[in-house]
Amino acid sequence: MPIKSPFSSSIAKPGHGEVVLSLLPPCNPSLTTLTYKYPLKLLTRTAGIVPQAPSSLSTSCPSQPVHLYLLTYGGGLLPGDHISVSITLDPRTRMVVTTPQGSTKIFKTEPPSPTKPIHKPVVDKSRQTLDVHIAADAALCYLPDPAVPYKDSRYEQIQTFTVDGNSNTSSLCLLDWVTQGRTSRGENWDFHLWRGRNEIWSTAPATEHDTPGQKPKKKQLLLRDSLILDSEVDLDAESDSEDGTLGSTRTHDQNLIRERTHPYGVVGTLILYGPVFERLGAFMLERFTSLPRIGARNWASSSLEQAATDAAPNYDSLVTFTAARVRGGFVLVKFGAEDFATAKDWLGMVLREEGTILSEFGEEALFCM
Amino acid sequence: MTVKTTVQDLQQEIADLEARLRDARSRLALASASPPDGGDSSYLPLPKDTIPLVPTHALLLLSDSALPLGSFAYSSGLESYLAHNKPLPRSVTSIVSFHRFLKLSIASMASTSIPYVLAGYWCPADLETLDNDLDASTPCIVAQRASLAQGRALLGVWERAFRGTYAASPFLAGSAAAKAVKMIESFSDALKSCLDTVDELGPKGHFAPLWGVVCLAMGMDARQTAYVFMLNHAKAVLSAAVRASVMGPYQAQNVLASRSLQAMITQRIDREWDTPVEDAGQIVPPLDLWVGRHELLYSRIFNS
Repeated sequence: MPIKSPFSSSIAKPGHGEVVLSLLPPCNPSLTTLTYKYPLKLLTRTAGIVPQAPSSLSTSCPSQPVHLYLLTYGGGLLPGDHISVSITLDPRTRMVVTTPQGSTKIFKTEPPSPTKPIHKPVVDKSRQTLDVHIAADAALCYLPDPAVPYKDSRYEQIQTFTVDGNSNTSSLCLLDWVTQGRTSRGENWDFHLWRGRNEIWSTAPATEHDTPGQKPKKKQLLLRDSLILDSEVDLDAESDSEDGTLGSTRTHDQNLIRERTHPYGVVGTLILYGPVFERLGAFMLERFTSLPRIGARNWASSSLEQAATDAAPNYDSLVTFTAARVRGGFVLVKFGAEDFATAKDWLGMVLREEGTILSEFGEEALFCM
Repeated sequence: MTVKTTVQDLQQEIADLEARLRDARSRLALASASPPDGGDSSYLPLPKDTIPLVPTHALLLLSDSALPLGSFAYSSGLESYLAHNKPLPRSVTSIVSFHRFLKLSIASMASTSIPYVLAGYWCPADLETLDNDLDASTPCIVAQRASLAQGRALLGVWERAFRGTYAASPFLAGSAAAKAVKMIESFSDALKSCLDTVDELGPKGHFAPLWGVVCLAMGMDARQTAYVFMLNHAKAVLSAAVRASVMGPYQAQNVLASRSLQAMITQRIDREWDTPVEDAGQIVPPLDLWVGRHELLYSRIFNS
């Protein structure tokens, strides 16, 4: 097999990146592919690329996690930027993905100015797509910083994860959260659009009632978590309208996103799947079900006015969350908190207390917490 | 009311009108062939194969609050919302707070379910895929239970009550309705033969896509299908508000009759009219939290 030149890039499109993580015998994780192009940058913490076909030698030891850092020049996304990353985890590999530049900043879209009529039909969005394939016994831990959409920004991200449907031994820990913007500058859900979609597909249907001879195995959607925060301000209509009406429609529009997210400053979802995160999932469920009942009264106490929920404020009372085991063995945790710091502290505290992430992926997986 | 129409919509409308025109012509021919004999001549017998149905009959049946879907058992998060926002700040009355919830709930229901209702209506053949995808897209188990209970109840009503009339002779909508009937039957069979466990990924019976297919089978048009779906949701929330003593029954009817509610529903349907099911999603994130935390309430009068 010819050695690939480190200088040639097989990725033609800007913003695209591709990573393939394989396991070399005996238990040596190595990146067989690592390519990227401006404005995307990918860094890893293993040695160089080893151009060698992986062997099928099996050992029981879990492989060392490989760290992948997602970077963009400038630490954020400008309108029109399209980042597209494809990650493939071969069997029994482990990967940690973090964003060492802090929160993903979504820079603002040029507002349609009433003086200069804009003829572009649609204002450019920033987009980010992530496509991950997780093979059997492989695990991905993706705990990034939250997205921080600046005022007037438009952003869309689609993260697709494909797990092995035959063995059901792929593992995934995925955090996706979005904040109200730069609070220090008074931003409070002032962006135009934030659309986040996380999909988890299974390569083969889990139910095997099909005939074995049937060749095309359909992918099945296991989980889709879709959040749309849209100010529903029609930019096209506004740029078409005359100056006078523009001002009036603007003032009449109350901030829909703020209204729909009230009283939270950050909302997010944590998705847990697979054997590696089984214990963490159970821990989150236990934590949720042992929350004090809402509206319960402490009948033992003499004053009936004091609700039991008032007692002892702890981390769990600062963050509103739900945890549920949904179909396919997923544990879904949804949370909302007043501000970023509260949510971050809570997540960090919970994940450290449980310990799976620390023992399986190391302290650095919690880099963003 | 601004009405958006698609080519498909118009084609179906034309087909409907043509069928009715043919029907009327044949009856006219029948009437003119047999000479009138007396004062009763203004009442003409209908041909045997057309069910003497007023087109709005199905609409009235499906919008009836007595339709046994058990929708009254669900508050769609209202009960939990009230508990989470207690006590209210002095400046906010409980009515104002309720109106906020109603607005959020309608917006959220439209963005998560209307694409599935319409997809079920347009492509009844995809019913099983739609059901699977909606099941995958409903992150909250409390909401999931509510959707499943109502979907299965609708299937039950169809089998025990509507099928006799509407499956026997698909009258107006023609081939599309016949296909819808076939899809409901096969879906119902698949549902019955599937093991009912949590981890099983078989057919579930979610409400939204089934609603679309059943409405198609009963000859409703797409606009009505979406509108009645949303109105029924609003009715359920308001009925829950009355029972949770947020407001009285007259006030609830007042809200239901209001122009603003009509405008709100129409606006939400217009917005989701062309949304593909892949782009359906939650637009009110706290609602997922409230509905999910319904299980934590110390006392409950609703199932969601």
